[in-house]
Amino acid sequence: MNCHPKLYTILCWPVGLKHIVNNFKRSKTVCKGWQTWACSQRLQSSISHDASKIKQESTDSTQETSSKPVVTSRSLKFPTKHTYPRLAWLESMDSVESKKLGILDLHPDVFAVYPRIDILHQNVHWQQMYRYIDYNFEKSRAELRGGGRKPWPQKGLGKARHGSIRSPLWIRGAKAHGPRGPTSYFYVLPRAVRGLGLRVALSCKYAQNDLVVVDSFDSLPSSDPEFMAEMADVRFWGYSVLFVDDTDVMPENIAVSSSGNDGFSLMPAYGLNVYSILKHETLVMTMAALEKVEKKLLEEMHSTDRQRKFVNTLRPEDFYTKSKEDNRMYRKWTQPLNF
Amino acid sequence: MFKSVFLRSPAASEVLKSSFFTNSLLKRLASATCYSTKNYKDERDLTTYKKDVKPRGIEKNFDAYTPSPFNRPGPRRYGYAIRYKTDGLLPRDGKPVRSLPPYRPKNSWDTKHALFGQNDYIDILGDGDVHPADLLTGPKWLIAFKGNERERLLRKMEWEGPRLKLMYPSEYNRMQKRIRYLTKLYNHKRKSRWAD
Repeated sequence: MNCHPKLYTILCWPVGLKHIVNNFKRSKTVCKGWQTWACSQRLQSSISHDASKIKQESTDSTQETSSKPVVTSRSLKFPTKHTYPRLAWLESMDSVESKKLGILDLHPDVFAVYPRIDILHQNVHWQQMYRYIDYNFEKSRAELRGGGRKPWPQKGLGKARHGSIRSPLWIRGAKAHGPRGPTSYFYVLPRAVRGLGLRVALSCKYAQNDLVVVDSFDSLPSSDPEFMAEMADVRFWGYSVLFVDDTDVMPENIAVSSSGNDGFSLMPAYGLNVYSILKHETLVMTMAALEKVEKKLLEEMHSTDRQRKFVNTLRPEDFYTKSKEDNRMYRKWTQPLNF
Repeated sequence: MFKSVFLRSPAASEVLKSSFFTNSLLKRLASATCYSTKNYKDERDLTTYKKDVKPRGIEKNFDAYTPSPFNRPGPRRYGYAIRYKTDGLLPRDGKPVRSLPPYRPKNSWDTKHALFGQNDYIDILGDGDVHPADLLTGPKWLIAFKGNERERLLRKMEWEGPRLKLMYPSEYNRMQKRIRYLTKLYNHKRKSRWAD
């Protein structure tokens, strides 16, 4: 920072103001003074925060009395100089209305990249196609039954010349260039493009105010699907919500309540993907999942090793259930059939 | 209804007098729905029962038919049924179309669709030991493999050839025949070395 800190704050004020407005939309119980202070603090010191100072200040100014400690800071790996960290509320799941437990820094390289629609399209197309196997099959004229005999002589009848009744010109003839057998549409999208796709999708969710960070799913008080639906209704989550946690094993309450609601899905952090992010209206992540996803994406972004080309090394032997017997000592007539 | 407006018979006028409100309303309607250029007031004939023709544009039915105030001679058009639709495609009346498969709308929130695409980024977000290609399902010789028909058949022959030869010999023959044909085609289109 080259200029005077006060001047810097004034220069950056429009950015800060916009940000406050953005956050204001989500929050219902906002303590304005504290938030503006926190924002300007973040603008002045781009990433590193004096946590104790903020905590002291926040306890002075906040009216929210929560038993949990107010989270105000997060240390970000791979800090950037070209932009500022984005902010998100940390919310709780223990009541229908959202309670603000604190405010979080999000890495701008993950949650504030340019919204590349083309990258999103590439990713979604890849997800749909790489697993797709087309089983359509049409017999060729050689595989159809009959058609070996010439239906009528070449000359002298005044009719068109034909050599086979299974020619594609004929009714009940074969299809020329029809679909042949199971066809695979497999391809591998470059790793960098896939990583960028995830970052773009998360950025879009954040920019559209559809990214919600909660402390954990353990605090959900009820396993009633109605409760969950009401919660989504009150918090303006829309009709479909994707809950992402760090672990495979989810708490019972959220598992039961989301299985009772159409459009409410659960996913571990490693299962997150562009298609699901775009399919669901709101993305609800626990803080652990957020940290894991952010860490993995940043690692992928900053890794220096070249992407190795995907080579299919599968062999028929890999799928044998029994090891191959050594039959060389047997005579030929006692040899068992191998297939 | 429409007829009664144009009627000049005393019976009809009595009826109309009884309800002045409806009368004025009907007149308005009639003026608005006078579809033909003919002036109905000038036509004075006794064949009033034929005038139950509703204005064009509204489907004919007998609800709008007003019985004549006069005695009508005999049963008219006895044995004659009106066919409302005489041309074009006839309504199916709930009969299913047999050539179409039954309509089964997909539920986009069942487990298969709601979680579509899960673990596609597991090589980035996971521990790094699993690739999404390892999680594919399908014929073992085809998954994570893309090739033209000949390459696919050759790979299938390599993987399942011995088994097919024993258990499904005609399938094996079909594959062999197709490979032979496709290889001939392939070699024909390749550029051969110049022969002296």
